[in-house]
Amino acid sequence: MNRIVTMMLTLVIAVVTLPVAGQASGFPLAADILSQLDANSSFKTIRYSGRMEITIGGETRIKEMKAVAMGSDKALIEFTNPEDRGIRYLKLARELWMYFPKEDDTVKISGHLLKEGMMGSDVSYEDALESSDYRLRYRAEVKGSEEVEGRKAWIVELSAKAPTAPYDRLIMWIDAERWVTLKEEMYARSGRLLKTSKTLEARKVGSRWFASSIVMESKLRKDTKTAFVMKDLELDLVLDAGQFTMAALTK
Amino acid sequence: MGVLWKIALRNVLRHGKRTAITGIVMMVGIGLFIAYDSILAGMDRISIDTMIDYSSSYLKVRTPGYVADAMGLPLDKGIADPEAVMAAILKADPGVSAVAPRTLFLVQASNYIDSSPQMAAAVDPLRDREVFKVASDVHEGSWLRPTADREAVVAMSVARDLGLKLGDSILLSARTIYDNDNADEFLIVGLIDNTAGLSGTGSIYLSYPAARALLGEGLPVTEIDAAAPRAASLDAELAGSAKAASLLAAALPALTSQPIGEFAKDYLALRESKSKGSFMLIVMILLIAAVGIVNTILMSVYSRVREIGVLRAYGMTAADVKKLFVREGLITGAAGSAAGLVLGGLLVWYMASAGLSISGLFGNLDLGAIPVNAVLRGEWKPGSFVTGFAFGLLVSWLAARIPAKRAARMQPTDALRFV
Repeated sequence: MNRIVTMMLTLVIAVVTLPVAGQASGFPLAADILSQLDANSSFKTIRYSGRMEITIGGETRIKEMKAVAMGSDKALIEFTNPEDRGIRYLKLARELWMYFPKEDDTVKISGHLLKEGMMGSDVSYEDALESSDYRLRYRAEVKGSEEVEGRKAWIVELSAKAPTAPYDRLIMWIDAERWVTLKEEMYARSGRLLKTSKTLEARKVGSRWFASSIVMESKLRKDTKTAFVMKDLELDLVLDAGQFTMAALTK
Repeated sequence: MGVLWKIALRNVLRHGKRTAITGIVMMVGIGLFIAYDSILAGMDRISIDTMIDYSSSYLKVRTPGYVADAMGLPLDKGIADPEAVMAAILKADPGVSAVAPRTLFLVQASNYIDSSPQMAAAVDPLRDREVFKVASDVHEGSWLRPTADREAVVAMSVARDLGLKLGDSILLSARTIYDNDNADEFLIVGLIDNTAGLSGTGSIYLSYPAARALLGEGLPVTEIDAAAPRAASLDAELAGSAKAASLLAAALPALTSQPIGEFAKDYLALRESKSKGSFMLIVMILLIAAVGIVNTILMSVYSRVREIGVLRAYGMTAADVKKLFVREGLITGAAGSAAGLVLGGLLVWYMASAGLSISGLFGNLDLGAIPVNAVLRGEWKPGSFVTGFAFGLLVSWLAARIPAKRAARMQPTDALRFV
C-alpha cells in the first residue's frame, strides 16, 4: 500500500513540476513558442507580389506573380514575368485550374499537384498560399537555443500528431524575439531530410513579424534551390470573393 | 468436263509462257497479299499482347471511383478486400488462369543530383509474374523478392539516365496515402530492358512491403489484373476478354471490370483505318495482275484470229467463243491464285514459326506499343486465303471478258481473211 502511495505521489510531483523544470532551464514552453509562431504566421487573407528565383543545376529562372488568397480554400495567382505573362492559377478547395492566355484554354489539374513545386520550384502551392497551424498538427519540444545570423533562436523539434501532417518531423530555429522561423528542416516519415528553408528577411506587417523572403532547398536533388520573395505584402485584408471564380480566371 | 473447258485448258497449256507469266504475276500478288495481311495481323497481335503482358492485362478490375479519376492515380480509391475479389474473379470465370494485385503511383526517381518523374507499380512479386511478363524481362539481376522492403526493379532507361547500375541505390520520393511526401533509398536488384512494354504501367517496381514503407502501411490495392491462356487469334482474345468482363460485372457489381478491348480501343480504331489502307494496297497488286491477264488473253485473241474464224465457220456461236476465252482467263486466274495461296502459305508458315526480329527489322526505332526486343510472328488468317483466291478468280473473270467480247464480235469471213 505504502509503495503505491509513494509511486502516485512521485507521479503527481513529476507532472506538476515538469513545465516548471522546462522553464527553469531558461527555455520557454514549446507550446508557447508555437502559439507565438502561429499567431505571426497564420492569416485569414493574404495578398502580395511574389518573385521566385528557381535555381536548378546552376541555371536560374525567374518567375514573378501576383497572388491573393482567402483562407485555405481560395487562391488566385497571376504570373507577370514576360515568359509566363497572363498565366493564372485558381485554387478552389482541393482543385486547381490553370488558364493559358495564348491558347485561351483552361486546364484542370489533379488536386495532388497542390503539394508539388510551383512552376518547377521547391515552393509548393500550399507553401505559397496557405496559412500554417503548427499547434494543431504537431507536438513540440524545445531542444535548446542557438544564434542564427546574429539573432537568438529557440531550437524546436516538432513531431506530427497524425500521419496526415505535411511533414513527419520539423526542426525549427524560431526567432526568440520576433517569433519568426529563421531556419527550418523538414523530414519525411523515413527520417530522411526532404527540404530546408532559411528566412532571409522578416517584415513587420501591422503588429506582427512575417517571413517575407525565404530560400528553400530540396535535399533530394543537388544544386536545387528557390528564393521566394513577397513584396507589397498585406495580411488579413478584406477581399472580394468574386475574384476566386472561373469567370475571373479567364477574364 | 465440257468441250469448251477442254479447248480452253488445251489453249492455256499451248501458250505456256504467256500463261506462266500471268500466273506468276497473280501468284506474287496474291501471295504477298496473304503474307502482308498476316504481318499486319501479327503487328496487331503483338501490340495487344504487349498491353496484356505488361499493363492492361487480359482483364482489369478497379473501383468505379478509381476508373473515373484513373489519370490522377488516386490512392484513396482502392479495392476494399482484394483477396476476396481475386477469389471471386477466379470463381466467376474458369477461363481466367491467374490474378494479381497492383497499385500504380508516381515517384520522383533521383540519384541526389538529377531526378525524373516516373510511374511506379507496387506488385505482389509471385502473383505478378503469373499475370504479367515484367519479371521475365529482367535483363540484369533478379525480380523482386516478396518480403523485401528495400528493393526495386528499375527500367534500364531510367537507371541509365540517372547513371545508376545494378546494386546501386535509387532515391524515390512520392506522395503518400496521407497526402504528404516521403523519400527513401531502395537497392536496385534488377534492371528491365523493355521500354515499350513498360510505357503504360511504370518503369519502377516495388513489392507491396517496400511500397508500403514508402507510401504508408494502408496503401491499398487499386487494381486486380487477370490473365487467361493465349487465344488462337486476336479476335478470339478480344471476345473472350469481353465475355469475362460481363461475367465479372454480374459477380462483382460494386466494381468495374474492363476487358482488354476497352484499353485498346484507340489502337483498334487505328487498326480499322489501317486495314482500309492495306486493302487498297492489295487492290493495287491485284489490278496489276488483272492487267497481266487482260494482256495475256488479248495476245491470245490476236494470235488466234484465224483460229477463231475456223471455229466460227465450224458453227461455234459468238457466245461460245466468248465463253471459251473467259474460261481460258478463269483457268489462268485459278492456277495463278492457287499458286498464290501456296506462296502465301509458305510465307505465313515461315513468319509464324520463325518470326521476324523487330530490332532486326527496325533497329532501335521507337515503335510505340511494340517492344524492340520482341519477335513479330505472322498470324494464320484463313479469311485472307479465301479472299485472295476469290479476288484472283473475280479479277481473272472480269479481265478475260474484255478480250473475249472482242473475239466474239469477229465475223468468220473477216477472221479467216485476217493476216
